[in-house]
Amino acid sequence: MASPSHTRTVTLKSCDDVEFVLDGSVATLSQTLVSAMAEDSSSSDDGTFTWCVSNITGEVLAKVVEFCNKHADISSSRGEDLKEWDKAFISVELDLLYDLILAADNLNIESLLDLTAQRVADEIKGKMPHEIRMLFNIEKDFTDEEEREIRREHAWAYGGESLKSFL
Amino acid sequence: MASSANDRKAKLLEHIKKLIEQQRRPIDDIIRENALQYLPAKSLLRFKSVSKQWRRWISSPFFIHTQSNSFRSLSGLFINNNNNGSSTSFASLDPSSYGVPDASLEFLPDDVHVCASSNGLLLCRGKIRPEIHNPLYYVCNPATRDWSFLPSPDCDHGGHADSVPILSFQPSILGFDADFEVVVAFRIGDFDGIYGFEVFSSRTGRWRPSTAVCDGGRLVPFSGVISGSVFLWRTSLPSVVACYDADADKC
Repeated sequence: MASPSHTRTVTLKSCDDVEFVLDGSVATLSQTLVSAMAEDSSSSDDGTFTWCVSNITGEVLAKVVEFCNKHADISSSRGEDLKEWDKAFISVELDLLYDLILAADNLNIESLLDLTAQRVADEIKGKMPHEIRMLFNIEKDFTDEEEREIRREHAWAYGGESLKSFL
Repeated sequence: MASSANDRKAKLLEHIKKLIEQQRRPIDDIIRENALQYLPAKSLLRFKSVSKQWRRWISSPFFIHTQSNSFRSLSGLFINNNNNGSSTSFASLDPSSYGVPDASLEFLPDDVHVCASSNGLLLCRGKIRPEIHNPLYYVCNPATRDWSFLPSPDCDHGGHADSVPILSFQPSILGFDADFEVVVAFRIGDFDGIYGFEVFSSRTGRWRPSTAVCDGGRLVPFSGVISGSVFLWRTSLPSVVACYDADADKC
């Protein structure tokens, strides 16, 4: 039987072999790690657990670990302060933002997923459908006629003086 | 040479595993499932033409419910125009993502005056006309043009200057019915600064007159805010706030 997760330390290893050692209680923010630790029976004796994240780089994982350390620290997790901290934390370049939302999904860290998703929403809310398709590599599976029909339904939603794509 | 062949095989398996893992959740899915709920109505209706999957997702009742809980940004201001012409207009804080299809609210069967808003819904009151004693209240969603009218209140709410309504629509994850409450503070008789209250609940479909009376100065129009079951207004007196607790029916 695996020992309770909070008594262990967890070593996270990025795809470029950067290692991070986390307290067990910090690691429980990740549902992926919680499940993996519950299933793991090999290293229960020495209280350490190693998990390789094959598609997250060290740079991204460092941010994820920073986030988890902050959010697991109960003394700092007070409403307004934490909100301010989150706001500063998520003010990153877009490349890193998309890396982070993928990492949050992969490691299943709900609070990080919410935070990154809100920032992504802010970034995409003013875009046009073809820009969304291009950005996320989505195939247009409507015929031109179907697309026209759907656009007609909510034609008003395509207007707006400051639409960037029209500039 | 067997070991190098094994190495190659292991490497290939590792690589395929990595590809599958990355492929397991395309970024399209992650964005759709997590970020769309934080978008305003205008962006969402536009994004229905991204793909069939996006369209299905955005149209599903479950998503609509989730979005009403998640999206909490201020999108703009409704303005009552006192002059002739269209009765209301909408000033968007970001026209590319926030907006309504019909800012003059002409989908309502009446000329209206916007008197309150709450989490995406508007409370409007029909224009005061000599032939109508107590104009109807309407609650509408200006993004979808859905609307309903409230039954006639039991009390006389007077003109727009005499009554100060608050609309309370509090979406919650478990509340699948979009229930709302309207609390109207209205001037009693000709007394300045003395108010009675009447409460409408969409759950019962009825108005409930209150026995509470408040005499703390004139209530400031559009100053109403909600905290739990307590409705608060600023008053014409400095640092005096009027409050009415709808659950306790107390002032």
